[in-house]
Amino acid sequence: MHGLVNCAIERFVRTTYGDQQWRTICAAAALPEQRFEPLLTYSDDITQAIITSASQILKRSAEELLEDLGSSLITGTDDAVVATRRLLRFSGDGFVDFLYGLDDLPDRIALAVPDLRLPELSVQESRPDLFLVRAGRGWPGFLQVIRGVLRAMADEYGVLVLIDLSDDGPEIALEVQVIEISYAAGRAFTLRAG
Amino acid sequence: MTPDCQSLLSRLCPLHALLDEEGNVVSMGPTLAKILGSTKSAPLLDLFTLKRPVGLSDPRALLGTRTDRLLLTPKEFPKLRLKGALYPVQSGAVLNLSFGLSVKDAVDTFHLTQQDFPAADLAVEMLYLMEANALAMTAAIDVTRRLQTARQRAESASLTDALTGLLNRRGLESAIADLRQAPRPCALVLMDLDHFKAVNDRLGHGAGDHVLKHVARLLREHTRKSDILARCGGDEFTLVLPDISATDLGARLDGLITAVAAPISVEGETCCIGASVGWSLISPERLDHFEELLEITDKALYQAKENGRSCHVMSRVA
Repeated sequence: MHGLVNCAIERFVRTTYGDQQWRTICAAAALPEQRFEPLLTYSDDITQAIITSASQILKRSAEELLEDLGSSLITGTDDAVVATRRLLRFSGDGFVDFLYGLDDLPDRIALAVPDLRLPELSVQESRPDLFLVRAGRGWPGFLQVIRGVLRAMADEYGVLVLIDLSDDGPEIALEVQVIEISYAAGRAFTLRAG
Repeated sequence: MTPDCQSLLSRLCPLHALLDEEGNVVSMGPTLAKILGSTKSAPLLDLFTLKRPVGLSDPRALLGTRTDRLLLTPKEFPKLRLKGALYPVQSGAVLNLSFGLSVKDAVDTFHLTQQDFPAADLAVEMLYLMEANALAMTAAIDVTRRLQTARQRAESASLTDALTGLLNRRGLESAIADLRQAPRPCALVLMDLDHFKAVNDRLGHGAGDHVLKHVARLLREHTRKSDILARCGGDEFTLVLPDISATDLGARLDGLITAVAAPISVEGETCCIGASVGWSLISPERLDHFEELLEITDKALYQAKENGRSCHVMSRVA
């Protein structure tokens, strides 16, 4: 797994649950080191071990943690968060634009970090206000992270949405229902940085 | 141009200007209007400085032919370099502009939004990429800086001379400290290379490094495994040999000095150096005064140089 992913998990746990919990989780996962280099690649087993051990120690399901991880990438005032939020806002002018832009998201991310390859994302509009988001294989729990990202991005655009996990079909998908497009003011975004 | 046509042009090319036969700007796209701050009709060269082609003062000279390689800067914002292409049309020309590499400056200066760029334009992707690139670069610089700090810390904590693999000054001090724990009689040997500076000056530092490695190898060959061998900067070597007789050491030093004096070939060139040595035999109880012993032995080394180099001199330590 790309070091950036492990760094994101580390930052999420440290800011949400504190440094002590992070140390406990690392110890339980038998990690050789407690910090990751963002530009190196690590074995997938390490990432899986952190998630499993975090779920046990924080007494929350892996699904819940991954969803919160997704929204933690966007929500907050930390420099890193502000930067990610800005980069994601380049994907679309409004929330629906952003949803359509999810198809491009893995490519867009690879443009910024060439060796960070996300699983494919596909978006299908089943009604003007209902979208199905599916993810390719490779990263277990990836769709949960995207769920958190979408939840936070909806806030960001000031849109009221309902996001459910649907497993009616052969594969699981996110059902994103747009309830109200201009529910709140949303955060201003300019192309101009800072 | 029909109003329909003109409105389409404004949407497809929001950074265009429509010129009449005299070279006056008669209308323009919304983004260009934002930059110029006015949509008033004016001669092209009142609004812009033409950077390319050079030396053109009458815009009418441009109008007749299609040109791709225009470079213009707005009079009000000379920093902004706009690339331009001119297309002659009936009764004038269309001048389409692009921000080129000034796109970030333009966005910052004029607070442009997605709507100021055509829907199919790559400008927004370019801005995204510039921002992402800056972040990635910051991360990379951060990693490099941390690696460098770690390296410096590791080096300063190291006991070994990276070039020769012998001990460095810290390593020597630590080895002496160990020796004091179980004191034994030893010999202290100080060796300087003769004519080493000439090798560095004549053949460069790469050759100098090669010579130092070569000498380190000879030192290992002429000593025992348990001896302490150190390079304490430049071409100065310090050796501590426990439990050794003056006769044994003398024979080893003779061999070493002869070996060092043999011509060395470096990168096709031959260089000749020598070794001057001062040494002393020290009793176990004097190990505590190592600095003093160094000074005394250094005098013997000086004497060896005075005696014409490539020889060894024993100092009389009580």
